[in-house]
Amino acid sequence: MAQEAVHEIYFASEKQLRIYKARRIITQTLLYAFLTLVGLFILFPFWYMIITSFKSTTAFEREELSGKLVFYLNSTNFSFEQFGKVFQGSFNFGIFYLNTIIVAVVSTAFTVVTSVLAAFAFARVEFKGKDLLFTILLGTMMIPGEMMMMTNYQTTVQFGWANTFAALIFVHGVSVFYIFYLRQTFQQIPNELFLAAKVDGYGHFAYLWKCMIPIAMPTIVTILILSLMGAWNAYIWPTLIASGKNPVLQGMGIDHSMLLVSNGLMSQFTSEFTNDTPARITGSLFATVPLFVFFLIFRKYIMRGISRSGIKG
Amino acid sequence: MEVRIEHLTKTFIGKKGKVTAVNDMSFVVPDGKLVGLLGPSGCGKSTTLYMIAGLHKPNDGKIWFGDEDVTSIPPENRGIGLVFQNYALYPHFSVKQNITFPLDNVRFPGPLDAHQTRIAEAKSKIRKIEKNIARGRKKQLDVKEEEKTLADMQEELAEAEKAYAAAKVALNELKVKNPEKYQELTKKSLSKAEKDAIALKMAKLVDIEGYLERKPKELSGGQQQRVAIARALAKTPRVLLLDEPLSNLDARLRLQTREEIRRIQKDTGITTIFVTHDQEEAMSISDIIVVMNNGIIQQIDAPQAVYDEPVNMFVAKFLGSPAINIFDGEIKDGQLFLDGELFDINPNYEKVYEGTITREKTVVKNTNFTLEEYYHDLDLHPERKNNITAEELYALENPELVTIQYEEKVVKHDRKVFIGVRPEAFTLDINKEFKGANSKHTHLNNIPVVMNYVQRVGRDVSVIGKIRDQEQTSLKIIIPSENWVDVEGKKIVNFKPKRFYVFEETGERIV
Amino acid sequence: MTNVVNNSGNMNPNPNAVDWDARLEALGISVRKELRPKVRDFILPEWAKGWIALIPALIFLILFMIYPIINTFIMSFVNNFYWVGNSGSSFVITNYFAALQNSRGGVEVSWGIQNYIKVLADPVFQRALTNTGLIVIISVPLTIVIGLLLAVCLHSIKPLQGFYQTIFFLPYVTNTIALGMVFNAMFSSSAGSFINVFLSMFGVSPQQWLTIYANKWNMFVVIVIYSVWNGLAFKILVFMSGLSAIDRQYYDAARIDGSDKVTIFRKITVPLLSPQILYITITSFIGACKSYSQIISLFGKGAKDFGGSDKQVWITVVGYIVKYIDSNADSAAGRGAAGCVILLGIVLLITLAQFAVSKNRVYY
Repeated sequence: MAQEAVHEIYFASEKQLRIYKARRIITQTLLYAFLTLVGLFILFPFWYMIITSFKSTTAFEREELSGKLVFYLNSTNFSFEQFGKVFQGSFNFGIFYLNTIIVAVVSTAFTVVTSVLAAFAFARVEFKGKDLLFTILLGTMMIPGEMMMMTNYQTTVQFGWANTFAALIFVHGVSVFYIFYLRQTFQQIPNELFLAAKVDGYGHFAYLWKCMIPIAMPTIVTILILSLMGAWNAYIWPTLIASGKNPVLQGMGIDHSMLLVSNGLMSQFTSEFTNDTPARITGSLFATVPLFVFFLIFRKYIMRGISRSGIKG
Repeated sequence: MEVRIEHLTKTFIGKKGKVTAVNDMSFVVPDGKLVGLLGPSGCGKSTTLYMIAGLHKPNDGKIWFGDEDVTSIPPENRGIGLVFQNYALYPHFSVKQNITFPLDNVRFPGPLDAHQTRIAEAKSKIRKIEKNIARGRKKQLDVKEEEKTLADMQEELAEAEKAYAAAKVALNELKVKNPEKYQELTKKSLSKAEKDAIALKMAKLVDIEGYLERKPKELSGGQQQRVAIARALAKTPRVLLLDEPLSNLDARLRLQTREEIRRIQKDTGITTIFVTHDQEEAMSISDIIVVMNNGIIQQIDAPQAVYDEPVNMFVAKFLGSPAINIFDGEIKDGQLFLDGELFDINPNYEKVYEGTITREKTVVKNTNFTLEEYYHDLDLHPERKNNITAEELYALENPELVTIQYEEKVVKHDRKVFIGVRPEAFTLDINKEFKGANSKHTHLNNIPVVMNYVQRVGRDVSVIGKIRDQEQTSLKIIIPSENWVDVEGKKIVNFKPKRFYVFEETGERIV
Repeated sequence: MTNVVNNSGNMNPNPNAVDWDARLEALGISVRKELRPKVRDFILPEWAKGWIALIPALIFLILFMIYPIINTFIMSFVNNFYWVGNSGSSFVITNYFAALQNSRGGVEVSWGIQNYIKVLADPVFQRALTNTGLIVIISVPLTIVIGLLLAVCLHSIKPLQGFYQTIFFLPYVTNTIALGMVFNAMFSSSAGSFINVFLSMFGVSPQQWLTIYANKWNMFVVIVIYSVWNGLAFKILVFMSGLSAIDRQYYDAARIDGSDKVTIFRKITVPLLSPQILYITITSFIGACKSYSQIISLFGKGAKDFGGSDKQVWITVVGYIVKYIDSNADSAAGRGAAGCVILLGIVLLITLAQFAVSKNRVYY
């Protein structure tokens, strides 16, 4: 089904060539039409989100009741009022952003460091029990995350980590998938390189730092990006243990809510803005846009990383 | 730097038990020579090279660089340069960085380090002796010996401290009088400028000066290899080691690079050891060849010597392209026979052959009971067939038969031998054409050859044929092109071997 | 080549100049500088380096992954289990013994499979099972087929291919909760909501979609639509990369043999794409079994609201587990644990079944 240039195909007659060309135009038109249709289906919720965020609540409600929805902005319904709502009160997107960015950056750093070291140990170093340990870890990849949640909740509370950054960063900080993925990349670095570095006077860790990491940088960047994205979109665990105020900061007299973007959004939803749809939609917008921008910048890395992991299966 | 190997042994534990890769090897590489380790795959040559480099630890034996025992010194401190078969260049570094990478690690010991070590050693020895003395006194033993040693040590300490002080004074003087030299002496590592200078020098030496800023993947195979050589030489090693340097290159590049290696070695005068399985390669550039098989050295000598005077059949067969022809022969009554016909008379054949021959026999595992004996027994006592013992039954029903080898001492006079003649060692006999079958005809210095295939290829004529009347494996002869007229169209031609070798059954050379 | 690096080529013509080299050598200071790295007296053995590198990751893995798994297993076999607040530990066994000391409400803790019985007999759980099953059976194949179709179409065009690919990938990078809420608004039940307006163009009267008055199947429609919308991105990407990896020679050979497009698709494209199809099928099924976030975000009433007046119309297996996750009511923890183990069993079964089916159909 790959693209072929017309001149690569030979035809018995002029007429056949014309038929072929006509057929091709029809198929291509249909294809584009289909793809465009689906594209619109995909894009529409985003459009809706943006439009609604710029409408005033009263206008929106009026439109809803009347049974006529307006898909564009005009002088009657345009308003900035939603943006103000999202940033005030106890549910404040500024706080959500702050918390989420802190968690995302620190936990990604933590993930990258532990994954690099562990993948290095499995890929390059010989020690007893290496294979057994790796097989066990590989097995745990199959297990659904929900199995660990109850215990982790109790453990976290016992550590006194409820509603702290520590709980959000360390509990899910280490991922076997990243270790596995990075180990594969490390294994593709030829053994002779290690020996050459040895002859040049570099031990294991010096070799890791100076050679393996630079060579495996694309994979590390992919892990970095995927980890950041995962931290941004996390919901279940943050809801469980980070829905309240930070105890450490409270001891210092600061009232700091620990909500992240996702569970913050949800609580906004269920409390102040239950009946104010445009406000909620604006919240969704704010939850989505940063990652959007991030994606547009790093699109190549993200898509390459995911398709690569698909090949390995 | 002379490299000396003494009784080097290396065994690996594989899936099927212990494998001896290198078996009690000893040889000496003289200073400044280019030595080739030659042998088939798996003969242990790469293992030997890696042991010299320090990447593998020998199970037994010692390695000396000059008069320094380096066996337990890690590879980076031995002063070696190693070029890998696939170059192993760092892909994320430029050529220049690849060459300076080993230099980043270079650390110079301080000028007074030796003195300080001496003092520290003396002090610790003194402490130990004092402890021993105290212990001895408690047990009321005689401590006169220890006290004497203590006095000696204290003297040594005083001397060391004196020398240290004197050295310090001299250094301070140097600092004032010749600050440049002082800097030179006390620097800890190489500066960037120095490293770059070395890199440039190396690049010039191997002729890749223009490529210093490129990355390895932008270079061709030959260029990459030169970078690898430059990197190996950057630390001015005492010994240069190369692992199959030419096998990754195409044919024409091989010839070129051979000469390059030779030139570099001559320019720098560095002792070089390289490993190869290509005998032509080894012959063309080595000063000395070490032929190996199964972890054992077969022969060490200059290339031509190894070619002309092989010490056993393996060496004779391994060197030379096309390979040497081997015929079955016999020694009877002091005369050499080829295919039953008299071939040569030489007093050497009178020598009695004493040696051991490896034979095999089939036994049941864990006993000495041989199956042959069993069957022989049954034949002699057929009534026992229904009355066999448990042991015998066991042998029948559990064929855990094992073929073991054992050595049998042999003293022989008449025996089978192998005769080897190199293809190019044939010339046309005076009686060029074979005239009729003559049953009394001997092969005395001429061999009639049935010409199965004659081809004139450029400089030579290549003949493949069989010895008349015999079902031998075919032999190959190469004669100069001018003799084409003499062999063209002929069916049987007489050839005379100018030079031949005779080998015992076990391979050693007799003549 | 000499081994000396320093350049003492300072030829001093002054006869009074001291020959420093000789003098220094005499005093035991070596003037020659060999280019060698530092001699290390102590080298860490290799196995130590391995464990040192591994320890950071291992600590957290054991603490927050391996231990909880074992813990949950054990917990599922303790009847009437509850977390004893002052036991100071999350380990089931410790809590067990603590609970033995002070039985609560007269009910004793004991070993047994009562948790499993309670869970399996619970009508809510049964509903969760059916719901999850419906979601899996309907939405996953639908998404895969549409995804495959789209990937193939995408693969057949050249200009704007990247543009369309990016558009189709957008749902993957968006927050499930956020977009769920948008869908919630789009499918609101007032006459002026998007869907109702859309349907009114076909003469269908406004419907209740996600409110407590809504029909269960209307809710299901929304769930399926959202799942498909969300799920296409990843599948299309993996299929695309798989398609790109198919050697053109196969297609050329087929063309020479005169095959038509449909046959090419069935006999060449699909078999060569089978590893990716298998991967996608397994991961999609497993993911769908764990459906939770997208559903609560659609109903938008909070982490434990699944629609309807009893808030449990579309509860799923994971939803059931979440219900009991921080509760300390009677047998709550045990039920949650049993639910987890059952979920694990379902996932394993599905995966094994798929592997068995795939044995003859997947070509590597």
